[in-house]
Parts: sequence; structure tokens; C-alpha cells
Amino acid sequence: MKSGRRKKQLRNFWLFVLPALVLYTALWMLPLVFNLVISFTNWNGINPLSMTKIVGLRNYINMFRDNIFYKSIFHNLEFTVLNVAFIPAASFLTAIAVEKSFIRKKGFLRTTLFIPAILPMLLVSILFRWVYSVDGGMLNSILEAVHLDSWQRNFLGDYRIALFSLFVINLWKNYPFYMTIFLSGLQSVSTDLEESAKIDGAGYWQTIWYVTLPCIKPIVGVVVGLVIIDGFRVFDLVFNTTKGGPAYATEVMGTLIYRIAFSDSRLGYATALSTVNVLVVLVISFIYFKWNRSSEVDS
Amino acid sequence: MKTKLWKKIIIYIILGILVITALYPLIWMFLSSFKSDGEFLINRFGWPRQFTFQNYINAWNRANFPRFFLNSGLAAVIALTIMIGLACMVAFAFTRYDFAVSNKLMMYFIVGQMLSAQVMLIAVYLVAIAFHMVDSIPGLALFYAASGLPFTIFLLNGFFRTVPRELYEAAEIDGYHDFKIFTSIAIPLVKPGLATALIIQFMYVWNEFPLSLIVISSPDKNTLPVGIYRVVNDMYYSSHTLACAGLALTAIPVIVIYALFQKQFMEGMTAGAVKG
Repeated sequence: MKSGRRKKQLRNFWLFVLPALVLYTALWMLPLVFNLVISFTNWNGINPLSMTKIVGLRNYINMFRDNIFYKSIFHNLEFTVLNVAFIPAASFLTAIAVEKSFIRKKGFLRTTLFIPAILPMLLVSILFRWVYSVDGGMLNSILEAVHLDSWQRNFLGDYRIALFSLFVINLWKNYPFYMTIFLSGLQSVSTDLEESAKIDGAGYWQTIWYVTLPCIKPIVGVVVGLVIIDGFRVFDLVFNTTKGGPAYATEVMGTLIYRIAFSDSRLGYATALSTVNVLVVLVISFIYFKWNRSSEVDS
Repeated sequence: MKTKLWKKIIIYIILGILVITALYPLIWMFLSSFKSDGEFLINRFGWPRQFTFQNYINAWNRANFPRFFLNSGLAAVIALTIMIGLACMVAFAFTRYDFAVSNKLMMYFIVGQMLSAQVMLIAVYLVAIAFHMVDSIPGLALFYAASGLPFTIFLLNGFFRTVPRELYEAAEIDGYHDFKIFTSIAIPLVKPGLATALIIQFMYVWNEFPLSLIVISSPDKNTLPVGIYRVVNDMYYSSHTLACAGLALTAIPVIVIYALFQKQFMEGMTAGAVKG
């Protein structure tokens, strides 16, 4: 009787789970298999597959001789490093400023500061073309107004600073999101603990460093993990501003893959690049999950 | 007490700068959208001397905006119905029964959460060709549903977990089918969760760019972001004020929805990260 009920439950379980599982597998996991299969061919995206040859590992071998590939993945890495260096700190400090600032209208601040995070990246990136424009752009005009003419730059056109300029857009749009995560974390930190630290003579920054931060350590981990993965997923931002230029100075995996696939019609090669990109993201996520788990056990 | 005062002032100044930095580009965009091209040339940053709605009228007509809105709306309705419906079923099954396989399935779904659309571009394109989903809005919507499932399941799982299991068991004794338990007991109890998921995923679908760029090819089937991308790119070089009006039209629905539902918004956007 008992096992009969269990059996029925199991059947129902699968009835509930199966539709989602099928849709997700067919349209989000199967693509990875297709991608891998095509990466062993020289398909150009147009010819029927019957006219396409299997080329074995040639696409992968070519990749390791391709300078632009190295450049692109290095730019992703640079993006990641910049993300890790600036975004957690910026969003944490802002969260502290909002939370502990004796300001009554915290709700207003949170709401306003969060606005960039809700805008489509497309809109943000077009908007920043005006911010960075050499022809009366916002930033250059402000620099002129405060007599810092020597700081004026072609922010997106100068290959030395273009990638950093793009990163600043990323920072502008994304730090409010992480700030909100920190804010929700700060609410769980007990004020008693902080008060007693102050009574023991700890200064403002000491309290933050030795009491507040350790309390929200798991959240710091989450934020760092997310911005690392984000560095390898950047696409819209670059695609809508510099398209990887000038002279590949901002080319990232996403834009490289798009260009190889749709401008150069080398789908085979593009899928090989794509496989590598997917693997990088998965490996980083996996390490991050492992690390996150083990640090949770520690604390 | 004196030290506190200057500390306060510094924090006010920093927060003030941050608020201005967050809002200024948007304010500039709205102001510019009300200027004529002639005025824009001589008055880039000031208040418009003469407000004109001509840019909005031109952008609306020239850019095929009604069409883009309709396409995006259609994609959103199909995608959200399927995504949230199926995710509810999964979250219900995960929390209603205690089968060990649930955890493994959850891991399988989480993998997809890590692979965002930006990384999946070419892979999705291949499947779209194979399944004849290229240039079809329902096809695009199915991709949206599939890609949004992991996060939705994850989010709703948290809400379904709060429903006491005794409630299900009591209903079972009363002779309820599992499907009836799902629709008439579980769903009404997780309504706040549904609202959160709906708003978060609406924004995802409404703002989504890369998948739409890949899957849709004909101009009259473009969703709003890709339509804007194509049109505003043209306008950008011909008329800045027109481009600003175009962007403003895109931003307004997003800002309105945010203003109305900010609580659900912050809740949903941070819930995944913090609980994860």
C-alpha cells in the first residue's frame, strides 16, 4: 500500500517536472551538443551540411595560432580583473554609506541609485557613446568646464583606454545591483555586535573591517563570484559601442565569436571558440561553487 | 559631536555625487529629446528653450515603434506564461515530494543559469536552424522561456518551500489529486513569489538583446531592443535628438514598471544571489 502511494507520487513528480525539463534540455542544453558537433566541421553557415567536411580538431588547432583569440580572451580576463578590483569595493562602500549615513530617506536613495541596473544594456551603451563622444560629449565637456582640458580623451577611440572606458560603463550599470545585495546583507548584521566593538574602542573603519565584513563574508563571496563570471560573459556592451575596435583593442570572446560566425561565415571556427568560452564559464562557476560550499562549511 | 558633523557632510556629498552620476545621463537624454536639432547644436546641456514633441512623433512613426512594442509584448506574454507555469510545476514537485533526484535536477538547471545568452549565442543559433525557429517570435519566446527557467525555478523553490507539507497531506486525505493540490492550494499561497518572478523575468525578456539579435532576422519581427539598436544606430548619425527620443521611448516602460514594483524588484534580483 505504502509503496503503491510512493510509486504514484514518483509518477506525478515526473509529470510535473518533465515539461520544463524537456524544454530546458532541448533549447538550452542541446545547443551545447550541437555546438560541439559543429566545431569539428568547416561549416560556413550557408551550405547544406551534406557539403560540409569533418575537419577533426583543426578549428581548435587554428584557434591556438590565432592572435585575435588570445587578445580576446585576454580582454575578458582584463575585464574580470577590473570587475573584481572595483565592483565589490565600490558597491560595498556605497552600501555602507547608504545604510550607516544617518539619512532618513534611505528608501529614496536605494531606489534612485538602483536605476542604472534596470535599464537595458543596449540603452546604456548607446547613452555612453554620448558621454564619451569627442564631439561635445558629456565627459569631455565637463573636463573642459573644470579646466582639465589635458584629461580630455577620445575615450572609446583610443586603443590604450578604450577597454577601461567600457569597464566604467559596466561599473556604472552594475554596481547598484551588487550594492543592493550588500544592503540586504547589512540588514542581517546585528547592531549589538557593532556597538560592543565600538565600546571596546574600535574605530569606525576597524568596526567595518573586523565586525561587519566577517559577518557578511558569504555575500562577499557571492558578489566576487558573480563579477568574475560576468567578465567572461560581456557582449552587448562591446557590441553596441566599439564592436571590438579600435584595432581589436576591445575585442572580447563574445564579439569575436559573433563576427567570425556572421561576418566571416566561419560557423565551424566560431563554434570552436564558443565551446572554449562555455568551458571557461563553466569551469569558473564550478570552482566558485566548490569554494563557496567549503567556505560555508568553515564559517 | 563635531567630528560627526563633517563626517555627515562628506557622506552627503559622496551620495549626492553618486545620485547625480546615476541620473544625469538619463536626464540629459530626456532633455535632449525635447530639443530641436538646431537647438541641440548650440545648447547641448541646458534646459530646452522650446519644448518640442516632434522627435517623439518622428521616432514613433519612422522607427516602426508600434510594431516593435507589439513584437516584444507578444514574445513576453508567450515566454512568461510558459516559463512561470513550468517553473511553478517544477518548484511544486521539488517541495511536495522528497525524492533525492530533486537535488540533482536542481544542479542540472543551475548549470544553465551560469550560461547566459551572451555565451550561448552560436549554440542557440544552431538549434534555432535545426528546429526551424529562426525568424519566429514564438520561437524566440521559447528560447526566452528555456533560458529563464533556471532562475525562476530557483526563485520559486524558495517560496514553495514555505508552504507547510501538512497542508498537502491534509488535502490528499480529503481526496484531492496532486494537480488539484497544485492549482488550488499551492499556487494561491505563493502568489507574492509569482509576482516577483513575473516582474523580474518580464524585465529580462523586455530588455533582452543578444538572443533576439541572433534568432530574428526580418526587420518587421524585431523586438524593441534590437529594433532600437538598428534604428537608433541610423538616427545617431543623422539626428541626435531623434535618437534620444527613440531611447526615451524604450526607457519609459522600464522605468514606469520599476517605479510601480520596486519592492518586488529588489527582492527578486537579490533573492537569487543571497540565497544561492
